[in-house]
Amino acid sequence: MKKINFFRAPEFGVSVALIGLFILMSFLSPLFLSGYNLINILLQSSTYMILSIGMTFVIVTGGIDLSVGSIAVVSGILMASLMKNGVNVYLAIIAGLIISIFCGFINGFLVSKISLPSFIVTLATMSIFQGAALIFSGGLPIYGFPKSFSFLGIGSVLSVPVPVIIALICIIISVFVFKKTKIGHYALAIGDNRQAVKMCGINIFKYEMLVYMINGFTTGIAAIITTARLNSAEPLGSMSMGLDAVAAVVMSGTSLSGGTGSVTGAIIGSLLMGVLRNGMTLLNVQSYYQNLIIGIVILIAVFIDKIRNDYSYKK
Amino acid sequence: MKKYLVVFLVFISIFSIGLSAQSAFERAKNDVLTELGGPVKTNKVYRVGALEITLANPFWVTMKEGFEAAAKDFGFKIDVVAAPSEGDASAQLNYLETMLIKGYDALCISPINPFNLIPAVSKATQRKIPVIAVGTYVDPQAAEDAGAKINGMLAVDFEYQGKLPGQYIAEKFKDKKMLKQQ
Repeated sequence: MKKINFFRAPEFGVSVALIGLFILMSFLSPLFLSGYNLINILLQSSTYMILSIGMTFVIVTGGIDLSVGSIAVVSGILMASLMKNGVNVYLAIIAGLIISIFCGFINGFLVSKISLPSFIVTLATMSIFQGAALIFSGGLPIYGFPKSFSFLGIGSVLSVPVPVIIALICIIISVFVFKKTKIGHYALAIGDNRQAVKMCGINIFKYEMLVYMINGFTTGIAAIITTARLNSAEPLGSMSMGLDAVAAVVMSGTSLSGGTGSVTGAIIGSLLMGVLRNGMTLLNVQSYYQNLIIGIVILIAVFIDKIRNDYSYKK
Repeated sequence: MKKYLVVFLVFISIFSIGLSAQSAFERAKNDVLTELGGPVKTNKVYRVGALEITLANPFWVTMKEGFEAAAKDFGFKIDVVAAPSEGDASAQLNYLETMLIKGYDALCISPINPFNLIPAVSKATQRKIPVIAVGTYVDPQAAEDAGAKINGMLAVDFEYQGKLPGQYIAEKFKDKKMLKQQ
């Protein structure tokens, strides 16, 4: 009985893929299992883990947020220019988080209150935020921040990198919010059956807005880490972040039509992406091939998930 | 008849462009060899890792070919990789961090911006791997603060490149009135 439950779990496909890939890579490259490399993988996937948390909340309501990369750019550029102008580091971080939550609010408002399709809204805001960042920065990257800020990106506590610690805290909080609070339950319910939730007298507007704002918030945290780690904010950088986050979530068996999915699955999905990128770099695979292979792995994970679904329907 | 002549001339000119490009490369190689006095002979085959900005741009693809040609000529092994796109500074840093454990004897980097690769370069300095910046540069002050050592920089001085033709033109037009008026 227990076995079938595990098999039916939505994270099944992506977990199998991750374990399989892990075993394959440790055979292919002797360097893969070294302590440095394992910490390296966690460090490199920490921003994706944080992004995929917010994305999960949005996708389980049946929405999507393509503007994540642009929100991160806006927030990074704002923090960078504030710090460059001598504003206190903590104030700059708070301002960066507020602007990213505000960007999430705009998305949420357009999707929920004006009920436009989320795909189109966030496609438009992706372009708007990107343009705003380019106008604000004049197209030039901003470099060089105080040490206390770069610590968030390159520092480490007891040889665990700070980004990994931040990601762990985010994961613990978000698993709690997703499983134990109204926000998580209602997000799933809205994705599953919007009409029924409305009839129960639940304020859909409020919860949908919250979901997009959570996504903005996690994007803001990811932007802090990226900006601190690179010690620079690029107005054109990290555009692919959004699509990678969507890929990590979708790989984990979270349906784009909403109603199913979990934060743990998304975390495993982003780890899978991290292991893939790291392993392929170790094996000297060129970046063109990396994109190709990642696409194929996404298809395989989704395919495993479909087989699992068909199997559990038949039972 | 004329048509054939044109085709023939075009072939000749393309061929000669190819030849002169080849000789330019040979000239550069000879210049470097006379400057450095030729490479030291060793039995060890050195392994070098090169990280470029992107391979979706002909400039960096040509540079990759140059790296590989040099490796063949001087008898070392080289792996050339690049970030997926020109703006993806964090992916480039991830690449370099992963490359550190592959046991290269030296690393060549072309950072996307003067700061993005510094965290990995300081780890390379700890591991005593020499790092050379090629094409683009690393901010010297920030590198020093982070304990990152750049062992060499190889870049084009665009200001000097602009100054040369300027000087040439100024010399040619020395006596012309128009230049003096402005």
